[in-house]
Amino acid sequence: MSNKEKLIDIFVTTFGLTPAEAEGAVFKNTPAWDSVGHVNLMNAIEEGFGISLEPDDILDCKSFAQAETMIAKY
Amino acid sequence: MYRLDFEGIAVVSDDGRKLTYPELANACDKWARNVPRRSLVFLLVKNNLNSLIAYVGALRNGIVPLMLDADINRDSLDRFLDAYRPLAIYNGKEDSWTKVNEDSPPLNDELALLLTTSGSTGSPKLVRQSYKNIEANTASIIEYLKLDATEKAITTLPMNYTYGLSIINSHLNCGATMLMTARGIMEREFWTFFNEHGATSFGGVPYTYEMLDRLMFFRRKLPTLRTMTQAGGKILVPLHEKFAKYAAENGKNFVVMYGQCEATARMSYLPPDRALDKIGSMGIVIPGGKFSLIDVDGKEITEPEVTGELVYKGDNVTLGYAENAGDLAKGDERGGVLVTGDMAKFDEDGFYYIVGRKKRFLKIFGNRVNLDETERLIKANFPNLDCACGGVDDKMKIFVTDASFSQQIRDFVVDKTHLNFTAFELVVIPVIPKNDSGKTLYSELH
Repeated sequence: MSNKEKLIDIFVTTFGLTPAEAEGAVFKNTPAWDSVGHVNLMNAIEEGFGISLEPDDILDCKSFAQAETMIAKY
Repeated sequence: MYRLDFEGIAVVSDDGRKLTYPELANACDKWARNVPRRSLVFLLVKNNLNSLIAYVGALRNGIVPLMLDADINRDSLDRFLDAYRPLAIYNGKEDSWTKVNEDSPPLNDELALLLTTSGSTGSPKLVRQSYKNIEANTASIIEYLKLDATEKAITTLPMNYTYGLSIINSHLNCGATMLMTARGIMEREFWTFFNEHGATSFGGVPYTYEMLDRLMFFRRKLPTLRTMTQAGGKILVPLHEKFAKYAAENGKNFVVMYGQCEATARMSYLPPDRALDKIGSMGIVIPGGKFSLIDVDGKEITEPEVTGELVYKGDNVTLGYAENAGDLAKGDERGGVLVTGDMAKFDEDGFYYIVGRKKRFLKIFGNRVNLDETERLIKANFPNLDCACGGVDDKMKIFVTDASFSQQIRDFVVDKTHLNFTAFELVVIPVIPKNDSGKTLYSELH
């Protein structure tokens, strides 16, 4: 599974979305992606990719595209 | 209350606007100019300048607001409109007025403010707060937190939530500054605004502190921060310890508090210099209040470490509830005594600890969610389905016997409560355990 596919999976599970919706997900626009959802997402990404996210990245990751860019850094 | 007779900056908004106290007073009175005194107005609020002006404008001018979230769903708003028939709705997000009735229902002279009992499940039940309630609680908070004009509090809690409102009340009645932002702690803009204006304090519910911990808050340089307050549910012991330690080592205060909307906001606080040696405690009663513990026979408990129901006496005990417009004419039904529904004990030094709840509700992200009410709502909406609600704070378990409705039930509860769906877990079990008389045996649900 590619990183992108893995990330789509995480978004689908965390926010209850379809894969197409997952790729367009944006903080505060996607219903379940509020501050609580954000913590859930960050935890799921850390677990899924076996990484530990920096606080600055947690604050800046506010869309699917940004999540993709973020993961590429680790 | 809200005389605003101070100098200096009263409010800074994250859209760049700044108002001095005289400017705020002007804006508030201008907002209230065309609204008759003693009329009921719904305020749909966000943490922004317009919402603040409307709230203060209403309180200063004898207008009684019902505070609601600007993002309230249409069904819930309609239920409140039907039940209370306000003169008008003011939307602080859009700065717009909607006149909805020719006049206002009669309001009791003492009535100042109406609030929902936190994250209600759409029930139109309200808490009636008086001018005396707000004045008394505000004065206590200013005293025990030692607030003065040098404080700058940043918003972290909604204005329609009693804890968020108490922060505004206490700061704008001691000449301090409110930093208004609708951004949350998970957004970079929040921290930029925080640092730019040198915030000295913020408040948070237990979940706020979990998020701060997740953000490695302790690594963040916040030289202007003096005080963090916590209320809205019992914080977990390890988290209490972590923040109390951080505060002690960095010359800051961490203040655990306890309160209810029914007591305006606050009933107790743990003095910050005791935060480390009284971990898990919600502290001592606020100035002007009195606690007692009542045992099952109605007798007052005088021994430490004995659990009883917590009863609070003080001028901040609210008038009572309202369920319809007629109730708004009612006077004080409590006489300054609040039976909290929380089970508590005190230690040999007189510090109080919450040990349980008499009523079946959970605190989810600081919002009170009634388990029986949630059950009733689900059963009403999904006929022929048996269910039971249980779980712990921040995680409700909904037990059902039929898996096919799981997703729909979760969607339904999320819509009703406006809370993140991960707070609700659907558990499918073969049968809901019941006793001979058909009552659910909640202790057997896991």
